[in-house]
Amino acid sequence: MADVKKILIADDEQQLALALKIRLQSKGYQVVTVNDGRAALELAEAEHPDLVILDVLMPVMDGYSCLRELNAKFGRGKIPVIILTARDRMKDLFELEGIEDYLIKPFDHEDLLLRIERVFKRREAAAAKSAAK
Amino acid sequence: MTQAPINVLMFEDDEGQALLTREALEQEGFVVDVVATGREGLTRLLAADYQVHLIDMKLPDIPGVEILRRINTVKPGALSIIVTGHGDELAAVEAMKLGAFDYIVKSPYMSHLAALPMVIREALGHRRVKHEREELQTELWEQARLLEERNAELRRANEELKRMNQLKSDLISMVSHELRTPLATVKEFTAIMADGIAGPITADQKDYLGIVRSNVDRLSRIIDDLLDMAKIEAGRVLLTKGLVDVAPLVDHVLRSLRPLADSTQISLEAAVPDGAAPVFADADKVTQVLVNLLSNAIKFTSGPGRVTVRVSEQPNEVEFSVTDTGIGISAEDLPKLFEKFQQLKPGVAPAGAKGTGLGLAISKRLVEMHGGRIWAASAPGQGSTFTFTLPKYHVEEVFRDYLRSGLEQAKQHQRPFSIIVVSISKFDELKALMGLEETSALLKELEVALKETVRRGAGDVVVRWQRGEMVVILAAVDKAGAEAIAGRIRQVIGEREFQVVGKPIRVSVTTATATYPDEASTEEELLKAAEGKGQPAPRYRMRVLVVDDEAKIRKFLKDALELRDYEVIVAANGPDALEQLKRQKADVILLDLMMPVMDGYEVYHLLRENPQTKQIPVIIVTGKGERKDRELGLESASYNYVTKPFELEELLGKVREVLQHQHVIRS
Repeated sequence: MADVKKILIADDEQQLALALKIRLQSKGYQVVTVNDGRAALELAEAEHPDLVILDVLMPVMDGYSCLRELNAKFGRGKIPVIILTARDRMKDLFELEGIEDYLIKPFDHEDLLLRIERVFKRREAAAAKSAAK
Repeated sequence: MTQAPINVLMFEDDEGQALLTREALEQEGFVVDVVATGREGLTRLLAADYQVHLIDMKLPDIPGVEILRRINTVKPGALSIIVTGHGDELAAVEAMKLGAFDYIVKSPYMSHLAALPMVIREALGHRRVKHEREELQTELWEQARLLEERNAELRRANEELKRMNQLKSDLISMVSHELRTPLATVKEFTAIMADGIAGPITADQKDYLGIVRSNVDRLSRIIDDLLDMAKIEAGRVLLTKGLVDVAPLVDHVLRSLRPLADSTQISLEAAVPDGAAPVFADADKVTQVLVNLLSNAIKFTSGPGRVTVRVSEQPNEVEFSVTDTGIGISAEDLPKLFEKFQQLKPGVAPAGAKGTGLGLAISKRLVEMHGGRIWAASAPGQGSTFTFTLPKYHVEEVFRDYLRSGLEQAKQHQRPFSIIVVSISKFDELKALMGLEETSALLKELEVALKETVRRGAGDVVVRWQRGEMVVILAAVDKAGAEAIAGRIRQVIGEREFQVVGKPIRVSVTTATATYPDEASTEEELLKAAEGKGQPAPRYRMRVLVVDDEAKIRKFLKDALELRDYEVIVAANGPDALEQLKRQKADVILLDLMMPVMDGYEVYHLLRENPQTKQIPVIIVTGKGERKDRELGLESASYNYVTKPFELEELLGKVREVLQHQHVIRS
């Protein structure tokens, strides 16, 4: 059994973030939620999460800035990031580098779970490959 | 016919002159008052209204010019005619500059008096016309002013309307966003409870949570529809059109709706012909329309029933229809179907199936934005068929569409916009060498390479083929950017080997760019600028000489070869062929052996002896058993043969082969 994955959720909609947290916890993930990009960044430095889920529209520091900072600090794509965004802001996504996946709000939790699993599988496969070398 | 008399005021100090003039005028029906001094006249002037003033330039008290000036001051626009002595014409002209209408020179024999009435009448006539014209002018001005006012009003109203519309759609989108988050929260927590994550629940509780959930879903749908409609009405829905393959899209939609259909015992069927033409559309929007029509059909059909999607190809469009075996729609309801908020026949729809009344209105807008049409046919109890059309994917149209919208966007956002035209060097030669099919295979490969080269964000690759000119990358980049992309394309394509008939070939391309606003401001100019720059290689077609005595075969080969873009010249016999070759060169000769006058062997030898023709490859067309190459005493490699009766493909293949061989030798 692999170790417990740590997921950091940054969303200023606290109750929605709480729902996601409960859902993810029920699947065995360890989850921390924060309300803005700055807090996400600080927590990421302290906790080194295995995955960060970032809402785009947040006070203090938005999701995109946070993503850039994460890339700058840990190296591009080092910590996988899933972006949550509204459909009409989708085109901004393509200008971003170092995102692992994205979801259009409103999304289904099934969809989110699937994507999270996929991220981890991909990462594990990559790690196994580099270990084999 | 009696006319109102015309009152004339005459300034004249010469009594005799005055008398005679009065007489002359009164005979003509004028009423004349005579004054001998300027002062008297000006006083009279104020008391009565005269249509005409006759002014002698030399009055004892006030000069005629001064009188004229005063009349004009007191009665602007008054009609004055100067009466002047011989030799005073200059003064009269001066007076006319001051506003006199005309002048008449006194004659010592009074002959001017005969002309005077006419001069006066004419002057009055002129004045009337002038007045009328002025009145008309005034009226026109007035109308123009009113129109301008009305325009301004309309503009204001329009602005206001626009503002309100914007406000409305802003409000709706804001409200919708604000509604979505709490709704999503409700949904998530309901699901957490229903899934037992927060602890075990009873079967009843699970049922009730299911009801909460279905209502949350319905609210979400309403919000989605409202948001969609608001966006469409505010012109904020932009289509991302591209090539859409119909069959997979229909399949995808059916799969997503199958659970819903299954749950009400409705069979979902599709009739999509193999190889249905792709459409030029926004796949997401088409999906939305189809889902909408299908879920309506499922909703209004009580199981067991059937819902069928049919796709059929029309000349310029593809038709999609959704037919159900449901309750049908009455004739009076049909025209109202596509209006907003039309919930037909409340109570007809099964409980829980109620929509927002926006689905069909949205579908209609979306279809129309694509340039398609949507309609319905139905009768109560007979089921319904909803049909919509979408334009087929025509490269030229697509290209134009991209060009138009790209340029529009660029203008709107004051951004540059560039097109890059990529042309294959020596395309015609290449085509003649490889044949049509191989060429199109190569073009396809090139297209792929091109699309790979142009990174996402650097622009859209829309390929429009035109005589080996492959157009075009359309991008929101400036001139330098366009040239950089063009350079990259040249490099990538030039360095890459393409496989044609299993043989690697290198293709060299030239590029040309044109940028808005630097070089052009319209679509046409942009195209022209780019196409003008890339120097098109001179059109070169391989020329084939067909030598055969049978007219039928000559005609057949000429048609077949021309269809494949060869230039064909024909000769009915050997001497004719040799004669023709003196005037024009051929790239390959198809030579029949059995011919009257001069047989093929002889022709062949003559061709080989002549330095002008000895390099031209010859394909000998012989009957079975006539193959006598050895007898010709020639190494077989120096010519080719095809045996009659030949297969056209075999012959064409041979032509290509020979030309390719020649091409290799030459280069």
